[in-house]
Amino acid sequence: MDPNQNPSQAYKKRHFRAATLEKKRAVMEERLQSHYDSYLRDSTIRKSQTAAIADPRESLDAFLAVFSQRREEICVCFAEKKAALLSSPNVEDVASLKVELESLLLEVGKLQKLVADSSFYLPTYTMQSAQATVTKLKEEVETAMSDLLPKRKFSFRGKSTTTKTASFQGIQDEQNAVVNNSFQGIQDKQDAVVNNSSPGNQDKQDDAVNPSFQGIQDMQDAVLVRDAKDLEEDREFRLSNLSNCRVYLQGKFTTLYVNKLRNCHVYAGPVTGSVLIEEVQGSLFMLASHQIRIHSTTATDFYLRVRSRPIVEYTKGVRFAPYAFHYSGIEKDLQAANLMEETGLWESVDDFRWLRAVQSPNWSVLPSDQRISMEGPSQFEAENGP
Amino acid sequence: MGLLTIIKKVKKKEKEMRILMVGLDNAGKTTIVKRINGEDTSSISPTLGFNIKTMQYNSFRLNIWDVGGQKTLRSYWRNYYEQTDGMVWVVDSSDLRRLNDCRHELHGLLKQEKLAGASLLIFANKQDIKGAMTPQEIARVLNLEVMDGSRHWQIIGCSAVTGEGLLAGFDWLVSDIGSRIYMLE
Ligand SMILES: Nc1nc2c(ncn2[C@@H]2O[C@H](COP(=O)(O)OP(=O)(O)O)[C@@H](O)[C@H]2O)c(=O)[nH]1
Ligand SMILES: [Mg+2]
Repeated sequence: MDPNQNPSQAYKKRHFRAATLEKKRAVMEERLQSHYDSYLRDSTIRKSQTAAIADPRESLDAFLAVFSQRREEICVCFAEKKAALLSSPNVEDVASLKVELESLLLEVGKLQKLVADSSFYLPTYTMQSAQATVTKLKEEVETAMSDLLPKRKFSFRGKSTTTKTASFQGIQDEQNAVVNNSFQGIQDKQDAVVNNSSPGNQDKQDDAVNPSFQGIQDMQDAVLVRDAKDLEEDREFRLSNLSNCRVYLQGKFTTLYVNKLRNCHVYAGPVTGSVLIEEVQGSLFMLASHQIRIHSTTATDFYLRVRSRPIVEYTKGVRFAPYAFHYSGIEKDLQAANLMEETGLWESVDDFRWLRAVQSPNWSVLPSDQRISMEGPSQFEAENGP
Repeated sequence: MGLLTIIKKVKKKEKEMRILMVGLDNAGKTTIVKRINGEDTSSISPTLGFNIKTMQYNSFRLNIWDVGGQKTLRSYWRNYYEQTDGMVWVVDSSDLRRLNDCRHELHGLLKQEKLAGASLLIFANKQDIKGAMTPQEIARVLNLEVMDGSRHWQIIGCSAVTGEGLLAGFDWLVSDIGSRIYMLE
């Protein structure tokens, strides 16, 4: 093979989106281009651009002067707030500090807007360093704000593990209202143990929504396998309300929604869009996807391959390792989904509830000697449930 | 409207509009903004905090505020309401489970006084996913009819992946805001 040719690139071109999508995209890009052209034709704008080009120094100097002055003001103000924070403030102080920090954050926003507005005439270096300065300021202020959040909020989800059944049920009734009705029609198709645990919902949402979806819900103690022939590629897949199950999704599809899983193992082929995981306890996931968001989850291991930074929120005791799933044909699926390469992003996790520079206590890297090893699809056949 | 007003507006160098992108996380807000702006959309990380994008759209200059939709961040949305001319509420049309959550957040937003005059575009995104709800179904589930008659709103199906519907949506929003703030004063 030609060493200069990156096979995954070539694949990406050919397979990532179907030809029709490509066509639609081309049409849209053409329209975008014509929007842009008409913008350039607009004489007033052209004039202001020419002015900036004619005398870039002037605009640049003006920008730098305004930018550094405003940054200085924000830094001084922020230093005062930080000092106040350190002097163990009382409840009222905290409340007013919070408001002050919020307005400081708005000031940072205005500074960011200044940079964005000036972007068309700023030299790249100035633009980038100004942006970096703003981002850093923003992070610092946001960190200070997260320090002020009541601690109780952090353990909100932890609470639901201790009072397991009660709160689990409560949340389910509220959130599943729309979906529940629409699940009715296909229960048998899924071979599901029909477990209508939420009778209260029936009349809550009469406007039942589109009943067609693919997924598995309300199951216990089962091994569930879906192969490429069972999986519709251009469709979402949802896993909902499962306990003690092992799920093997041996094919690719666009989106995965997961909610309310306990003591489950989920092994999935590539997801071309995003994965959204909510309310999971004591489980294991093997996932490859472009984006992964994990909410309200405890004591769960994730073996991931991602093309963006995984994020966790209201989550505790989760561990991360690289993706290592196998089924026959997985390479082809990974290539087609542009997920063949290991990006290394599986360990670049962002905890949205932990904006500090130090490592979040809520997640860690799974030590390599504790990682499971996967030996192809024969694995589940040898087992009688988890 | 007097001739003077028209002249004043025409003379104004940049006709600016401030647009707020909101909706639950994972709806596709960042992807839509990048798509409209012609940027690469293949590896977008979830938005922490907010991004501001300035772009030219027809003869207008749009300041688009893309705000993170995570639960942690929703309480900060109100910091961005000031001087908002238009809102784009993005819905993941394939995420049936969170539609209640979505409706709740949207109606909360509509109660905000500072946003009372803002035009509202609702994007029923991810129409490329098979089985996604149609804009009509979304309109029903989100209970859009209850909106006060004075609100200018529109729901449009779209896909940030194919680009379908994006320009139709922004065309509507920009011309609605434009006719409101640049012509009718
Ligand atoms: N299939 C499909 N996926 C989309 C579409 N728009 C966004 N996505 C995916 O949805 C995920 C979330 O998008 P993002 O823009 O980060 O959402 P945000 O949280 O609202 O900013 C990403 O994985 C996108 O690739 C769409 O129209 N169709
Ligand atoms: Mg985003």
